[in-house]
Amino acid sequence: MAASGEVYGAALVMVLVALYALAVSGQRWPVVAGLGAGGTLVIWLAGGLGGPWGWWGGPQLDMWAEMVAAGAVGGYVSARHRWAHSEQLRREQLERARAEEIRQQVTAERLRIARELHDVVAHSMAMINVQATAASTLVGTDPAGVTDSLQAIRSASKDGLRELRSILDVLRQVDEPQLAVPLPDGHGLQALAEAARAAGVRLGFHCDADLQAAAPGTALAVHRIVQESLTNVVRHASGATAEVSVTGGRGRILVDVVDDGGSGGAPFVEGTGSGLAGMAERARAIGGRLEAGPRPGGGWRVHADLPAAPARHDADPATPATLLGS
Amino acid sequence: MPLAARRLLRSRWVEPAGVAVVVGLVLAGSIAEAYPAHHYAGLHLRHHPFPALFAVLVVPAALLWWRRSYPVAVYLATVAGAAWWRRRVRSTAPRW
Repeated sequence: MAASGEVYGAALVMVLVALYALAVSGQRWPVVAGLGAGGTLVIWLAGGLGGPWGWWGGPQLDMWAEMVAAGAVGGYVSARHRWAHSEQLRREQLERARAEEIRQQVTAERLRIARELHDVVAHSMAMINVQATAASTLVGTDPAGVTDSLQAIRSASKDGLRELRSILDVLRQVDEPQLAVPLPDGHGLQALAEAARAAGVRLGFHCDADLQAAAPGTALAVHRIVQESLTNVVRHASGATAEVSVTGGRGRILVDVVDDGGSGGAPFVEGTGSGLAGMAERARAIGGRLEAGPRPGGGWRVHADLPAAPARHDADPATPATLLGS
Repeated sequence: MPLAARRLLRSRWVEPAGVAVVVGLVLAGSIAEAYPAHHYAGLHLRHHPFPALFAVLVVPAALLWWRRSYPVAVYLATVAGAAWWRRRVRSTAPRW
């Protein structure tokens, strides 16, 4: 432009740069368009009217197209930046949500493992402790009773070890969807009842529910709830009379474990309450509910109402249905 | 975009270099406009602008350094400089 003698070109360079920067700065497009048109008009009037080319401005008419181009390119770049920024925010939000989901899954898995270990270890150790206490009191007076208690300790420790091995086997089978671990049935409940009787509980047992036809998660929950309830009877109600009832029908399985509180004192006085919380979590996890509390006439009652068929969220592979030790 | 190009764009010298290029273009272009080597179609400047007047263009061009912090103010300053310059140069040219 300078070589051709046009005396108005160079001054527009900085205006074009400034207008581009104005558009990139994220101003609303009406503001950019208004300022761009106003500035162009001012410059055009300053150089056009009364200038060497008359009112129409001559070569400086190019200025309008150049200003529009500068504003449009700046607007495009600004929109592109905003889009990239929103995409970045969306990606970060997705990553945070995913990290939170993984964290919740890890927490749920940890709680599930803790629940399984608690139920298995607490049950076995309670049985062993009670039998060991009985054996120590019978030494020298009832050799046959001592032998029975030692046999019960052997049986309880053997069962506990087997369940622990089963849990460890399941934990190692991280990539296998089908687990070769037996699911609980009526025989498993019967074995729990026998172990409680051997520990001195006068126990009545009734089971007419078909656990093998129930959902795996429900069968496991029934087993663990009965196991934990009987463990609590042994630990906190020595010499108690208790009743276990597992009934099925209309798509539900009802579990009731009641005791009269016993009369021989409690071999264990300490407790964290995690067993009751674990039972309630198990019931909730498969869409059921659990109530536990003292009975009006003394003793304790545990009542669980569980769905026989799998609940919608029971399909989660992380549910306790995959873990069992009996 | 190649890595070398991205590094170059992130360099702290890019910003001052860009402003210097614009200032140089404005200054060189306006001087060349004010002192043309050739005249066409009878367009002649009756006299050359006073050299200090070039600062009226260079100052708003240098203000582009702050275009990100004050985009509207910098834009208005450049418009004022360009309008003033055009009006001033126009007064030196004869009627075509």
